[in-house]
Amino acid sequence: MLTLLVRRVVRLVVVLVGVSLVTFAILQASGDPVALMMPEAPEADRAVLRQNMGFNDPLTIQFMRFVGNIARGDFGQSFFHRKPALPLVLERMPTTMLLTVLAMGLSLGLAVPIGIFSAVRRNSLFDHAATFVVFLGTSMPVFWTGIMLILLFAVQFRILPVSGWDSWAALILPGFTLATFSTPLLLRIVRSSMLEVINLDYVRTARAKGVSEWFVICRHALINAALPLVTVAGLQFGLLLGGAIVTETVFAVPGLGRLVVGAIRQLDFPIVQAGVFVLALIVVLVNFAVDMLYVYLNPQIRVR
Amino acid sequence: MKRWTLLAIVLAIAALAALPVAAQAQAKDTLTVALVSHAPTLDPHMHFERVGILVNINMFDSLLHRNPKLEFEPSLATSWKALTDTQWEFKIRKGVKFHNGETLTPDDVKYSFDRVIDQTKKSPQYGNIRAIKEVRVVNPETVHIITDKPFPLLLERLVFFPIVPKKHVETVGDQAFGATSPVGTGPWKFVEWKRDQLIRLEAFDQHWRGKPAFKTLIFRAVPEVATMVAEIKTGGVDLIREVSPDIQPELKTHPMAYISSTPILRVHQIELDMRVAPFDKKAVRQAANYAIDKQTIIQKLMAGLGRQVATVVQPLAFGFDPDIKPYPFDQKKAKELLAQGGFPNGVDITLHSSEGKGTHGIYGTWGNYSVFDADAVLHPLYHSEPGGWYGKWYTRVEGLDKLIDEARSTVDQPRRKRTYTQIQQMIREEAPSVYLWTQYDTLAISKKVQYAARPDEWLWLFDAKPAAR
Repeated sequence: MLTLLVRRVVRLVVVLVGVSLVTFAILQASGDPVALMMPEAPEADRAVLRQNMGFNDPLTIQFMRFVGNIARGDFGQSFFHRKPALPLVLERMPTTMLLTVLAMGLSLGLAVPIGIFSAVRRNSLFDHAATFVVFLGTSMPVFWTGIMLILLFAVQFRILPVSGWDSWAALILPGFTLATFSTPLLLRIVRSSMLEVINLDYVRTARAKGVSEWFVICRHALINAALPLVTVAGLQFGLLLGGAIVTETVFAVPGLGRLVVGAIRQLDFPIVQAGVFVLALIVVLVNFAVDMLYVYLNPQIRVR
Repeated sequence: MKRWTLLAIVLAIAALAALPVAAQAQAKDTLTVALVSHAPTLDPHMHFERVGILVNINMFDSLLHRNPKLEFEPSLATSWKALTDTQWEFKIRKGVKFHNGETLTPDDVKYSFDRVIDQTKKSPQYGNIRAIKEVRVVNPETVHIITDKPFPLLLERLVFFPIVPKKHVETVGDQAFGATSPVGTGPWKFVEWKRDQLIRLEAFDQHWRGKPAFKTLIFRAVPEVATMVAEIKTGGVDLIREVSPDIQPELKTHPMAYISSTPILRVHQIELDMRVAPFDKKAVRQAANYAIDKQTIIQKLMAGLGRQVATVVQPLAFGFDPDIKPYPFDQKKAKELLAQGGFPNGVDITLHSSEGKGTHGIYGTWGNYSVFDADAVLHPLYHSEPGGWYGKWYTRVEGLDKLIDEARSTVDQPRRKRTYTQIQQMIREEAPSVYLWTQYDTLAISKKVQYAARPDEWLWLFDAKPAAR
């Protein structure tokens, strides 16, 4: 258990160093922020700023400085906001996390029961309808789904606000939009892994004990079918964070995605670096949690 | 199963904690504007973004104001005159109150300029007023602005140069001034700013023009156009900008909204790279100007909301010469010129939409920062002095620099006008760019609100009134 933990922590550090190296390299190659910061200033003024910001140092020095600062939690000052980057990023985190967790909750809340039902009533009309909806869901890009939901529920029926983030009602559409992104895959996973286990011996044994069918399905079959579900849900969480960026834009949600996208457009290195770093950290942590969940769900892993 | 329930409860609590308080229903005395984004700061001197300027002008006053007819009007300066070519006198309005109750003094005016001129503050607006050498407080109601050389654009630049309270800024610091406690003399005062969500302002009782019609002014940040349009259709916002031609017909007939459109200073052009083939030849550049059917593009793609231009100098700007005519669409002529330039069978070119290497040209638009003077487009686009956008890279027109400098270094307006005519003749002939069209600014406005688009793209919402029913 301890070696597993240590191994995971080492992997976490390696991934984070890799992430910071890649963000650093990409941003270096992408343009001159000084030209954007002082669009009308003469070249001489820009040169002074470039010198002051340390952009003239060798890249290796700049990267070492960067990593050293990260270790102290310092991602530098945002060029545009003129404030430390990390607090700006962390300030947005709760919003994006709320949206992502909400979408994940909705996804699981839809995928698990529908998936189970599809598996139990295999080839029924319900199963076919569910498959159809799955295909529809995977085929629609998030921004399109979002706009369609706005047109339907906010413009046509007038029952939900178009956009914003200032009431419970405003959360519903972005939550569902983002959920359509992950629900189809999760549903497929639940259905297929349920189908795998539902006719196995131990399930038949449980049935033979005389307990109710739903208890058999939930307690015996689902727990064993849950392993692939947890794996995919963990991976989907990272994708949802990415999808949240688009969803935030469509629904004018003041989350991390919009901050980072804006920063990319303005070549605001510190914000991009802090944002990507924090997102990567979350993805790595979620995967770490998934690993731990495995151990809980499948004692065999613990033995190994 | 209990563990799962526990997890669900924990997540639900986390969700509750992260959720902002419920919104109040939108009241009738509230005016809500949707912008694509917020500027990084509310400090009017520390950014240079249109979305920020639109918010700032409703919170801060400058020395001069411009009415919808584009004439200068007194604002914090009641009168002004040039004493010499390089020295201007401004009388400062008496009894103007800042939002925090302090009274405006000439010291605040001087301080406002000093903090932009002071290079350690790194204001992105420094370039605008670089010509100002010194601001001198002469007596309690007079300031002098001294420029290092004649600066004909001074008054234009002063229309957006907000005056901030010296004592307050020094007390709270630049950082807090821009983020949490901006204070000006404008019609609305600051209430709250939720970044990328909304900026909430409240009418300032003691504003010197009187109270604005709307008690609350909200600037929401809505990046997606489709969302903005849905908001205006459902009354979620009262005003949206930059409504594109494809959406206009729908909103024109909509029961909730109307369209207000006006020509603005923005001009579209394709800058040609004159340093390399094929655009190093004048005939080829002219051919490019003849070869594009601009009228059809304006009529079919832009819903007629555009005007073809002869050069980058727009009809609204000082110095524009209506006698210089745009290149007509003439394919035959274009082919002849191409052949003359050595390409009888045509030539393939690559264009970029941002600064790119190894291309033959770049498509761009120039907004002139709402400065109604030919210099505001000629200098930044064509002058080869560092800081020019294209002059440094693409444009090579013999003698153009000299003429631009000549026109900007005198305040003798008739003489400047003659120089600009000369320049326009020169650049039409030399064709360093493919000249396209001017743009319109189109607003969609809620029928509950009375307002009209302005040629300077400003949202001066003091002029907005609730519509009479």
